[in-house]
Amino acid sequence: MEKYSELLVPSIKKAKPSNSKGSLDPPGYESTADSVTKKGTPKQVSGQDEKEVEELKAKKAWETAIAPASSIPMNLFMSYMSGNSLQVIPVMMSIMMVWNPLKSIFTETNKIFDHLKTKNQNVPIVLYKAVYVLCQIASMSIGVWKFYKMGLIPTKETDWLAWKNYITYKETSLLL
Amino acid sequence: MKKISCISFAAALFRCVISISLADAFKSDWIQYNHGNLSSFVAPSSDGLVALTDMNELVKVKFDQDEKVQWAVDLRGLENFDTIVTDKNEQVVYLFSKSDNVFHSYNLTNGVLLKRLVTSSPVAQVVSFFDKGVLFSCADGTLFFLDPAYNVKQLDLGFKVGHFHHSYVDGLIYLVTDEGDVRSVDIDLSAQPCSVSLQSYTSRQNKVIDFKGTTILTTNNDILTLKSENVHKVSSNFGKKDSVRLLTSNLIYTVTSGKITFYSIDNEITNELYTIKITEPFWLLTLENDSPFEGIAIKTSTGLKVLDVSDFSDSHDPTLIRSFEFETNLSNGESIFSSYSNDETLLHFISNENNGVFTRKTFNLNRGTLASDTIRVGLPYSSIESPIMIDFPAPESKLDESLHLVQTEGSLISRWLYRLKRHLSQLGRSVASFRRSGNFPRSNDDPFSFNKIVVFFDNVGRDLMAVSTKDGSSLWKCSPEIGSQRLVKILETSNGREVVAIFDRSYHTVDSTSGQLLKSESVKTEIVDALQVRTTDNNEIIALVLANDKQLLLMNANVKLLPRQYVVKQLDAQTISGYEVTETLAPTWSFKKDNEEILLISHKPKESVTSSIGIARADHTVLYKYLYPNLLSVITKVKSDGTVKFYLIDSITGELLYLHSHDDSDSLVQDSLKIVMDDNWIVYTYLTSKPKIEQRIIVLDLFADKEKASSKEVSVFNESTQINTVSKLAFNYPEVISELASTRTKQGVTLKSILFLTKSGNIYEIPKFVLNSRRVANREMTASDFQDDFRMMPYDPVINRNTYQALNHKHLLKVASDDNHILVKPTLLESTAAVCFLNKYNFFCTKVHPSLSYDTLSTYFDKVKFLITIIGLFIAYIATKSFLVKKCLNAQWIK
Repeated sequence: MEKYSELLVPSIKKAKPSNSKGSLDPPGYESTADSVTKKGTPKQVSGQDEKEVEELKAKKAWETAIAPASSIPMNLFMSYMSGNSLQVIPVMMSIMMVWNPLKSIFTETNKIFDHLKTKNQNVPIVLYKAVYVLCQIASMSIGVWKFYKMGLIPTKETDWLAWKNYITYKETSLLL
Repeated sequence: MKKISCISFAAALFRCVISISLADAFKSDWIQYNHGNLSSFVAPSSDGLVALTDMNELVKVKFDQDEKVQWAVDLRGLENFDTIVTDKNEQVVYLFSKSDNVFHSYNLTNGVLLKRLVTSSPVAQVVSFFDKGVLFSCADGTLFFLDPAYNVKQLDLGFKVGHFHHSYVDGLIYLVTDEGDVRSVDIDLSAQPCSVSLQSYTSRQNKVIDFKGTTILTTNNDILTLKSENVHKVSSNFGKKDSVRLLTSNLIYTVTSGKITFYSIDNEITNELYTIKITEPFWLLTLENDSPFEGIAIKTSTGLKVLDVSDFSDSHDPTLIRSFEFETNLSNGESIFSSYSNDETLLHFISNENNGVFTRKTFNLNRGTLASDTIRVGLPYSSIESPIMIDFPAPESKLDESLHLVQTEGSLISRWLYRLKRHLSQLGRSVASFRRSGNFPRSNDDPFSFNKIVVFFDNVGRDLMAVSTKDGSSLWKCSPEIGSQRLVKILETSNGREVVAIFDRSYHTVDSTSGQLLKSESVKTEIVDALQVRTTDNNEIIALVLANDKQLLLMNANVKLLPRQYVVKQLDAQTISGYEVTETLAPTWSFKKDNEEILLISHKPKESVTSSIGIARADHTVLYKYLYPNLLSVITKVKSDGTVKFYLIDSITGELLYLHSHDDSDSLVQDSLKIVMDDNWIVYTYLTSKPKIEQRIIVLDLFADKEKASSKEVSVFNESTQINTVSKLAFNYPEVISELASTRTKQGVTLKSILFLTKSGNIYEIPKFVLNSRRVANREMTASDFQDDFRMMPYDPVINRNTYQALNHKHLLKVASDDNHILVKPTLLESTAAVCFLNKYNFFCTKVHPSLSYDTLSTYFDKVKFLITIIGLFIAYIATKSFLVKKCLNAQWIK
């Protein structure tokens, strides 16, 4: 381990005070950077600030919750423009439209609302989550609608034709 | 484990490549013509002959080629020709008839018709004229000259020329009629004035029978010589009944018992020259052509004796008579010809055998050698009765091998191991074979079952024949003892290993691979029909219908019949009757219209398979097909006004499902009606003579309602079998259709095509989507119309005839007036069906791909490139593996 002692316990040379040799700091550089990192502790927020933060967080949570809805008009427009023919790109696009919201619902819902929790919230965070999920579902439904328009969702009689059988008769006949 | 899977992959890949190389199985379509037996009229040269056959063909046979028949001219539908003559240079062959006023000339090299002449009366005789054309006389006494440019000129000699003799003397051709009229003609066709007449020497009883050089022989054995515009009678002491023959202009011989005597003609006197004694009995043989051979051929009990007198005739030196003896068996019905080639004189003896086979014996008189060939110009059968097409039964060993593919017992791993073992053993065998012979073994078997067996009865030879559809080779021939019994039917047993030939008093079971007669049984009562019936153990056996009260005789008495089996039978021109199959055929219903005559009945085939039960329309609704299997079509003609009526009948209940009555102004040509039923459609064709001659095609598509799409099993007596909709449309076809058939595939996924055999000798494959009764007429098609059906198109009444639809492409088929059979059988490839067309004239087999060959590789698939790509990818994978490991490690470091 002695070999790596230099690596494990690096001897960091302290930067000399910048103005000791009379050289000027570059414009905009503040030598207080050291002291800030060393202090590290956040300031204590006052009561009024807390309220402000809560408001901000609520605002942010609401924004986050309805963010997926903002892409709906664009997706709608794109889906409309790309036509209903069965081609790789529209199909891939529609898959993404369905898959991404699904993925977000299951993997991101909790994660993104975690840091927006506050101690005494007016509106419970679950509601924001619910709105978020609804918006994602709305976004996803465009994909589903697109699939439907493409005829990829087996809803019609013809889609099940291959599984249908003709009635069988017990009697058989032959021509002699 | 990794290594094993690698080897397994390689073995499987190898199997795959072997399978691909079978693609050339698709190239095989072939035709065999049956030229029939040679009639006795032949005109041979040293290496071939031209002959008329009993199938009414003119054929040229070349002996030294693999393809024996060099060309054949179909003379069916023309006059009855019976005589062939070739010209002196063997360039042209002339064909004429003793009964019809017609004269044909054909190019001998290629069989092209050069000239067809209709004469005033039947042609009597044809002779070459100075190597530039021919003279031919007609029975009414007119004489014509046909020049090399095929212009005809009549010659007037001042007398009637019926049958005549000719001889070249001093640059002139002398023509002597049987009645004794003489005239000479020069090369420019001008008849020379001639004062000679033989009338004083000839009479009705004493006609001219031979003319050689200047010497004439008459019936009463008078010998006359033409000399400088005069006729002299040679004094001789031949009796009227002596057998006197002219050899050359100054050499005569007589044949009496035990000896042949030669005489010379000198100064109007005959002198005896030499006598040859022959101790054993002999027969003088006559040659059938104008012979370059100077000599006598006689048949003795031991063989053939030939006397060549070509040197003797000039010198009269008996030592120069060359005598040959050949020990050979000569039959009586032989035709004898002589020919001259490469300074050698050849005698050809041609004898006919049965089944298109004839034997030619050639005697070379210069070398004294004998050659014998047996040549086949026809097929080994001359009639085809009730042919069936069956699959080659799988050999027992193959059954074992493929058993694991179908069995579901055992774990996945054990089955995989078994398969691996099989692949490895195949790989091992292939490698061993490659090391031994330098190439991979071509598997002889037929994995997709392209090759079938056609079994039929040859009514002329009275035997059962089996022919492979691979190349037309005869597989076996079985001659059961049937006497003069009539064939009722040939059926295949349900296991596919035997065929049963049912005659009116006996039935015979034959192994379908070897042709071995397994069982023969005779019955006391007459058999009127035979059918396949289902038994309680879910099998099918053959039942014979006996004449007495339609009793059934089961071929296996230990089984019980399933109930609810019915048959339909046409009893006479007006009645159709339905029966239930029990121990007897119990009548259930009958169809009879007093004023109507039944023209045709047809039942939907038992083998019809449909995979899709409906048509998906543009609006995603389904048009359900009417797929009722017990459907009977009956076409009748109303006797009073000739109206044609089409009935669809439920063959179990006898219920009328549909009736379509044609316009009574249509006049149907007798026997032109043909029908084919399959899937949910019926196509029938007929020729009309009024209002104009047209080949009509009627297409009916039947549709059912949604209730018919259900998995339940019902009885016809409880459930309605009514057709919901019938759509129908008529088309015209530019050719006369002689026979109809429909393609069938294993699963019924592939589109159907309808095969038209036209009178001109082609089989056209018309896709069913062309013959679609839902094609839009009388309006513009909309976008949804196009999507409503597969390849929907606007209605066009005329179905175009495209040459690329002809299955027989380069082969011309010969269509008989009846008994044309088109046989269709599915193969194991869904895209492909085997099709054979056969009648007594020819046998043609091919494969059809109605939806193109979508499940096989195309023939131009580059297998080598494919293998190289896979090997390249494998090498690249191995090579880049180390780089990948390195890269992954580096990536870890940077983190």
